[in-house]
Amino acid sequence: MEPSLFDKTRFEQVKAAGNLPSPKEAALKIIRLTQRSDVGVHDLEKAVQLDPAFVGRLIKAANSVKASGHRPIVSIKDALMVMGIPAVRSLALGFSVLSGYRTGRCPTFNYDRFWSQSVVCGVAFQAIARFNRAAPVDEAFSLGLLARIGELALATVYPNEFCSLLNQLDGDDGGRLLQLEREALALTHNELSSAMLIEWGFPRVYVEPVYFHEQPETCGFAEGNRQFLITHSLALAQHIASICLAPPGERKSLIAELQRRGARLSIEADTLNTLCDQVVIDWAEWGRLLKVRYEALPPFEELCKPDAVAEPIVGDAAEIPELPKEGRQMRVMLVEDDRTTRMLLRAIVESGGHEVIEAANGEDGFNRALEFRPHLIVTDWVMPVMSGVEMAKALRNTKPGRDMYIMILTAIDEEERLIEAFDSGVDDYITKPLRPKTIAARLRAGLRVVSLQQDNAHDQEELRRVAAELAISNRRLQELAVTDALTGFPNRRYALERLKQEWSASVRRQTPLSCMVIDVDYFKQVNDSHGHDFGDETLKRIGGVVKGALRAQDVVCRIGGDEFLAICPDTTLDAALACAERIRQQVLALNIRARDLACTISVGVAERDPSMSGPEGLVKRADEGAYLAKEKGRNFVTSAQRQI
Amino acid sequence: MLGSEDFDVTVAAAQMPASANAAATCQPRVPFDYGQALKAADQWVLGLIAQPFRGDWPQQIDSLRRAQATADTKALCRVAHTLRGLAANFNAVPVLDAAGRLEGLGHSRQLEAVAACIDHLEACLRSLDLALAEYPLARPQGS
Repeated sequence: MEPSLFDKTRFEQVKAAGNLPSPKEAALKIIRLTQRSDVGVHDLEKAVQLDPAFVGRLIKAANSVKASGHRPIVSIKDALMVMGIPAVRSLALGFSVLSGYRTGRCPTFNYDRFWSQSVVCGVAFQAIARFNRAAPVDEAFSLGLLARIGELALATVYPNEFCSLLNQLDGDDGGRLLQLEREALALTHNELSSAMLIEWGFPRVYVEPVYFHEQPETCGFAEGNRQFLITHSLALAQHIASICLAPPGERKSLIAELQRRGARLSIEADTLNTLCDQVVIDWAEWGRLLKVRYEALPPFEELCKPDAVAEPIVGDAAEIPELPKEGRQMRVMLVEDDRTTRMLLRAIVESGGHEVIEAANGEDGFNRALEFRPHLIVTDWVMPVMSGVEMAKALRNTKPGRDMYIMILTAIDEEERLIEAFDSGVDDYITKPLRPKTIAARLRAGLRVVSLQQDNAHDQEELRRVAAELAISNRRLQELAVTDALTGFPNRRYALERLKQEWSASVRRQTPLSCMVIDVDYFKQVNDSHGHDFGDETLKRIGGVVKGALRAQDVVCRIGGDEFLAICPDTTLDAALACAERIRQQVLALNIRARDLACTISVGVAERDPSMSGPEGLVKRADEGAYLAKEKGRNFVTSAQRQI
Repeated sequence: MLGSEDFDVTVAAAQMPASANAAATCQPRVPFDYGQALKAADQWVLGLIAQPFRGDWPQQIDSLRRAQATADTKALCRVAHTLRGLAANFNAVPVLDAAGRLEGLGHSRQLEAVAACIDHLEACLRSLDLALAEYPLARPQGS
């Protein structure tokens, strides 16, 4: 099924088009360590210690998976032992992406809601996994958290295009969104989610369910197998998240679907209500920790009753800082421990029309700079906790800090030390006493540099946008090159390529592979008697029947004027014959007539066998079957390998 | 206006042994005219920072004394450095010198001379404060 999830080349194009969401440096260090075969708990512990925010989250995660009754986990080492390396890696990844992409450039994409929903999905999937063992509990949270990361990726890489798609949506219609994405961008967020999870090293057994979980009925996994369980559990988790985020008055209308999805996993209504109540509690705990919006919901048992509407208690969302107002010349941060000097600097900077943010020492300045992203920083040198030079050095080691213009205050007799300051990443200096006109002039000089940087960034953005448009056009062209315009099915070229891949996979895995050649009977007569428009419509209707009768992992292609090829992986000849017979009967039931003749289909079926040298041999055998079906008088299903 | 702390605080003195340095602060030299110095300063800056400065410097002196008592030379240097930077806005040369010398003592960890130096700095600041109280400050407007 691998090729149908996402084409690696296409993913590379998307990656090249812009900044796909990715983990930050501290998390990357942890992730890289976890990928080493010789990593020990001690090494990992040291790496985790460097990221205090992650420490708290890791310990919380470890406590949420430990067996009840055990003493609480309070140390990093114990948390690492409980979680295990794969779970630590995916947690580092998930939390890092969550922290780094709280806002973005897509105006209609609700980033707060996205993360809030993702956190609910994470805790809900974990709760479900604890119940049905669909996935290890310690890994479940991250998978739920990142299951729709492709949406964030589209909002990040194609902000304008994705904004326009969201504007076309009427309500929360996931299926429609997928269709719009396919039409406008030639890829869907599910494809991107899957590709990103593969890229980040998630096991394939998780990735395929992520691809299908928004439309679980199309997954085609055998009922009850692990991927089936994960797909449906993720679907249930997403639905619980939808209920949690829905306006109170709309929640009741979602309960029936919740119970249906629960029943699909054999979860009884009472158990499901208890599970959902626990999810709401966990959501609040994680919400506080991650500063993600959460709400208190009434017990789900009450939601199941009529008229159960509760007022939401909105959580700590207000703690998430907003960016300063736009429209000023620059956002300038003043880092100075003396309030009198800070006040003087503020007056000077504000008189130039700039927006001011203040910090009282280097450490405070470092944190606020990463939070508020000022264009320019004016910092004192000697300060408690962290000096101005240390702060500049630390900022230059971060991605956002590289672009900030940093000016340092210095006494005249300290000018010799300025080399140290410049070497640490400072761009300019201001000597004391502070001369307003001189400072204003230096700010103007800083503004010129900042403007140039912004122009450069805009140019790069424009290049990225053009590259993204080109990538979309290329993908469209590639799709057009392998798509039949009438039916929208893949064409002969794609069919042969795909058959090659399925053939190789089948040989490699030693699994069966069948195909069907489906020939429309009397199609010429249909065209002659009713015209080409009717003929085209007939082909589309028959194509629809074929597609509808096949599984999600099967592929149907139009390989000739009145000929379809169905590729059925993991399918024996008997199963393919049975399926072909169902298709034949459904087409017959369409009752399409040309003159006095019924427009039916003749189907030839073949299964890979050792006598065949390659995929061409398989198609040839299916073709022979179709020929035999015609010979028998049409409207038959036949195999040259087993005549019936 | 002349300050009562108008003593000789030269760079050369800062290079003497600590005990000699402390004594050096007691040598009267040319009286310093703070009023005249304020006239030469940026009036917009004066109007803006004079009052907050007058409110803050006694606490800064307290901080210096605490730093001296606990031998916290880092804090001593930092507060002295801040006062030196502030004094520069008032052209208050004696304050600048005293704070600079204190900062130097902190860097070289010559704590025995610090107490006298803080006393001297405080006296300088009192004179500056008095001068600021009498000075007709401009109402702060645009720079």
